[in-house]
Amino acid sequence: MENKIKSVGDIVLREEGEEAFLFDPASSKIKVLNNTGAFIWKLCDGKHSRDDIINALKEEFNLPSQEEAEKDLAKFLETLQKDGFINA
Amino acid sequence: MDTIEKKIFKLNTVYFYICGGCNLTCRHCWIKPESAAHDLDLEGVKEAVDQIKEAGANAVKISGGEPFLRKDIFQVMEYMRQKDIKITIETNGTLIKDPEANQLKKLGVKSISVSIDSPDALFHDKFRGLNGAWDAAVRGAKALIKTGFSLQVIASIYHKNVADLQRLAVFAEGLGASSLKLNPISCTGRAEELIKNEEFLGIKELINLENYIQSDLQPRLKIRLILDIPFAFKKISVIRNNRGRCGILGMISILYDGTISLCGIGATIGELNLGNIKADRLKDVWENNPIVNFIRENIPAKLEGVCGKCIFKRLCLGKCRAAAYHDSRSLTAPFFMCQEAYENGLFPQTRLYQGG
Repeated sequence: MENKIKSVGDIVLREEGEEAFLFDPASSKIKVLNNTGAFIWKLCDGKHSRDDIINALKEEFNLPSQEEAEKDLAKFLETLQKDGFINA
Repeated sequence: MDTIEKKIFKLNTVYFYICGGCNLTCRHCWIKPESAAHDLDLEGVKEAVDQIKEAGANAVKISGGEPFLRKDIFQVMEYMRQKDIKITIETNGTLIKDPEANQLKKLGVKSISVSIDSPDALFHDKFRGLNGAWDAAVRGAKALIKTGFSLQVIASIYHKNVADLQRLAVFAEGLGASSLKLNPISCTGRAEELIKNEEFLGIKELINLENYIQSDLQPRLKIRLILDIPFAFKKISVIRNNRGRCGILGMISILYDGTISLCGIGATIGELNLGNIKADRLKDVWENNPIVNFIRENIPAKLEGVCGKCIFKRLCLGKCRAAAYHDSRSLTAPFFMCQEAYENGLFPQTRLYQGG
């Protein structure tokens, strides 16, 4: 079974019009997101895999090719992981 | 443990209010300079610079009063250069002409900001208390830009010049300045008179002004516009570069007479003075003074009021602790703008974190 993506700890998402950010109360680290980032973040709930997220993105946004979308998602998740916002 | 604390609280910058006098009598001045009679002499300043190095700082922001009133200002800066200290300067610009600008460039001064409050000479002169101040400041700004400085224009903003902001921004851009910093008038020093007359901008006006700048004015201009209000009221895309934070955990000040203080506030609030370089070592004050240690132990963790609930408290550090102390005689009190906004339902809910 494919790994589900899950956020770390008590990360807070704040949406402000076209902008959004993540806030980690433990470290006070802040990460700025765009709308797509915020959409993805909401799916990092331990219930969705990468494939689930790609499918959800397809329904919500005009995506480039499947390959491009997968690459972009992988890059985004890698950043979130590096910044300590999601588990591997 | 000791080593860790010293590493975390490295002294980065010393604000050196090097001259107690000023050639202007600005209506809003928070320092309220009176006279140069008690200024450190050149040897005293050199001793201060030696102590700054000893305390570990590599950067000095020179301010005043008006620093260029000192006849030996270039000797002072030359001494700082010899000690590998990065210099930034805040000046009213009126005493700078081409030769001074060239000399500053040769000394490797990192950046300079010049105060210009209006595109109109008469307005500026009245506000700054000297006929011809605007002409001289603009001449100074032009000389600095011509010499290759990336100049910041600083304007004090209040009821009487806020309507002219667009013209001021266009004017500053036309001068060739790289940024225009707008300082809402602070409530100390001579500004208390302006506060009494209700000439300062309230938080609602400042929030509206920030929105206007970011959504309307900034997109039309190349010059970078910075309204100096707390992060809580700025768009996340604007604050992500972290500029505008008070360096209170990495800075200390020396006043014109050698007094060591948290910042320029020491000139008007004596109890925030921490010693004097004539009798104390700056390094010892930085490492052991109870007020400095109190700030380390309590900012931002023990910030009170809305500052304690703010999502950006570690980034913002309560904006200006000197202002908080001025208002309430407490270094952990909330910053007045934020608290006023909170009490009037104007503080952005997305910037609050109850667990904070």
